[in-house]
Amino acid sequence: MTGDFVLGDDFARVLTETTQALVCVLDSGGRILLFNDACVRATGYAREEVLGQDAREFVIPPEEVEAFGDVLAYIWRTGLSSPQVGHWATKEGGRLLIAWSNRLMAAADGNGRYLVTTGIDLTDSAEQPEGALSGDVEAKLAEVGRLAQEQRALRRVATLVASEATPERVFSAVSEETARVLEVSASAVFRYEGDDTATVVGRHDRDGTGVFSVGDRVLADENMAIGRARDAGLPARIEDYTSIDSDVARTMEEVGYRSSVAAPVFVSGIAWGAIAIAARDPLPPDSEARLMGFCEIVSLAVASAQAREDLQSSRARLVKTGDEQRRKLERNLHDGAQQRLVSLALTLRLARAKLASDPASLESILAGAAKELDLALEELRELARGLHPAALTEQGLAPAVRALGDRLPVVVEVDQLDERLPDYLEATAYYICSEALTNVAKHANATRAHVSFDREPGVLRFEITDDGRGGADGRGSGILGLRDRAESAGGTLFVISPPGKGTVVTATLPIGD
Amino acid sequence: MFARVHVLQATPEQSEAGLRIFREQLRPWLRDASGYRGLIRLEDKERGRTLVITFWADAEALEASQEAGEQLAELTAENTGAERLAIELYEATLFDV
Repeated sequence: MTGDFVLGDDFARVLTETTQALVCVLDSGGRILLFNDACVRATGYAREEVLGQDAREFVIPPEEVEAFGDVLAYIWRTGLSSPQVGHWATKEGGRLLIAWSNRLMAAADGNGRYLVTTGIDLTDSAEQPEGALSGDVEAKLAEVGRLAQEQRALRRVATLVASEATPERVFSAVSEETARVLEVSASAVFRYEGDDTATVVGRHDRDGTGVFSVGDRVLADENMAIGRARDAGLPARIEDYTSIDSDVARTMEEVGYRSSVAAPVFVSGIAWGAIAIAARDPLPPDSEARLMGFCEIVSLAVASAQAREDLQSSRARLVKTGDEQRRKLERNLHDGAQQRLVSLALTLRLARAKLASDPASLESILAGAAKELDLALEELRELARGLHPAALTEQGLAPAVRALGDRLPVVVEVDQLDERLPDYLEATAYYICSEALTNVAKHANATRAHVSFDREPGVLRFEITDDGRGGADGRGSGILGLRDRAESAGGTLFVISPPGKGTVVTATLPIGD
Repeated sequence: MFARVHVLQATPEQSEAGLRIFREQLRPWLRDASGYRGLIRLEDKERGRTLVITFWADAEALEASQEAGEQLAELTAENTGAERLAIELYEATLFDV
C-alpha cells in the first residue's frame, strides 16, 4: 500500500518525484496510495500522514466530499476518465484550486485497478491576472466541471427512465440529483392536482429538515414558487419567503429556507407538475435554466409511464372483454340451442315409445320436434354470425355490415366499398361497425344510421353516424372497448356526441402489407 | 338457496325410467346451468309419491331456470307416464346434513 507498484518503474518514479504537477494515486475506496512531493509541498501534509488514508479525511474539503464520491463512483463504474476542477484543502485549512486529469490503471500484479490523478495547482495563477492562467480561465474550468457534473446527473436520471423505473424512483432520483447539481439543501418534485394544490411525489433534503414528505398535498397558490410556475407556465422564483404571509411561507421560514425556484413540467402540453428547489440564501440567477433540463426528463418519465399504464389497462380490458364474450357465448349456447336439443332428444324418445302404442299421436309429436330443431338451428346461426359472419368472409365488409343493419330495428344505410381488404382489417372494422350500430339501436333512440367508408392510401377511414339523442360517454366502457379494438390494430377511434345532435364514431385503421 | 319441487305420482317402473332419462339427458345439461346446486329425489314407495327437488343458488337462478324446468319436467313425465301433481317453489332456510 505504499505505491511501490509505480515507483518500481524508474522512469515513472523520476517523473513523479521531479514534476511540479500534483500526482496522487487512489484506490476504489478513495484511499491515497501515492502522494508525490508536489502534493506534499502544496498541501503541507507529510506523505506518512496521508498514505493509506481516505482522501476525503484530508485533502478533499467537506463541501466537495459528496461530489468527489460521485466522480469516483462514475469513473469506477464506467472506466472512463473524467477531468475535474476542484478544491483541495491544505493542512493549514487553506484551499487550493486544482485542475485534475485522471485515468484508471491496472495494477502491475494484475490485481485490481487504481486511479492515477495528476493535477495543476491553479490557485496562485488564478489570483494573478498576469499569470498564464487568468481568473477567467478558472471560471471557465469551474463551469466545465459543473456542466460535466450536470450532464452526468441528467444521464443517470435518463438511464433510470429508459430502464422503465417506476415514476416514484425517477422523482426521487431527480430530487436528489437537482439538489446535488444545483448545490441546494432541498429539492422536490410536485404533481399539480387540478385545483390550487400539488402533491409531493419525490423529495430530497441534505439537512434532514424533512419539510415535505412524499404524498403531502400542499397549497400551490401565488405565494408559492410552484403555484407561480403553474400559472405562468414558466419557471418562477420567490427570493424571500419572510416577505410573504402564508402558512407554507412560514413553514419554509421556520426550517430556514428563504428562497425557492420552481420550473414547470409539461406532459402532452399540459402543466403536469414542477420541480422546485429551496435554499437558505438567494438562489443564483441561472437556477431556473438549469432546472429545465431536469423538467424535460421528468416529462419524459411521466409520459412514458402513462403510455405504459394506458397500454396495460387496454390490454387488460381486451382480455376481460374476450373472457366476458366467451362466457356469454357459453351461456347462450347452454340456455338456447343446448336446451332445445335436450327437449328434442326427449321428444324423439317419446315418439319412439308411441310408435307401437299410439301411432296417431306421432304426427303432432314430430311436428313439435321439427319446430324445436328449427329454433335450435336459428339460434346457432345467430351465434355463429356473432362470432364471425360468413357474409364478411364471402362478400366483404360493406355487404356484411349491410346484412347486420338489416337485422336491426333502425334504418341503416351502408356505403359501397368494392375493394377487399386484409382479413384482420375487415374483421376489426366489422366488429367496430357492429358494436357501434348495436349501440345506436340500443341506446341512441335513433331512427337512421349511416356507415361510410373512405379509402385513402394505406388507410381505411370509416364513420358511423346516427340521428339519435347524442351525449354518449366517450369514456364509457362501450366506447373504450371500440377504441381498444381500433388501437389493437394500430388505428385510432374518436367519438363526437353532442347532446341532441346524434353521434359520430370515426375510426381510422392502417392497412399493412 | 332456493328450490323447485316437482310432486309426482309414479310407479316403480316409471321411477326407474325417470332415473334413466335424468342420467342420460337431463343431468349433463343441468350441471352446466347457471346457479344449479344439485338435485334430491324422495320416494314414498307405498303410496307411489315422488318429490324431485332441484336447488338453485339464488332467486335469480331459480327464476331463470323456471321455463326450462317446466318444459323438461313435462317431457320427462310424458316419456315415463308419471303424473305431475304439482310444482312448487321454496327458499331453503336450513340445512343440517
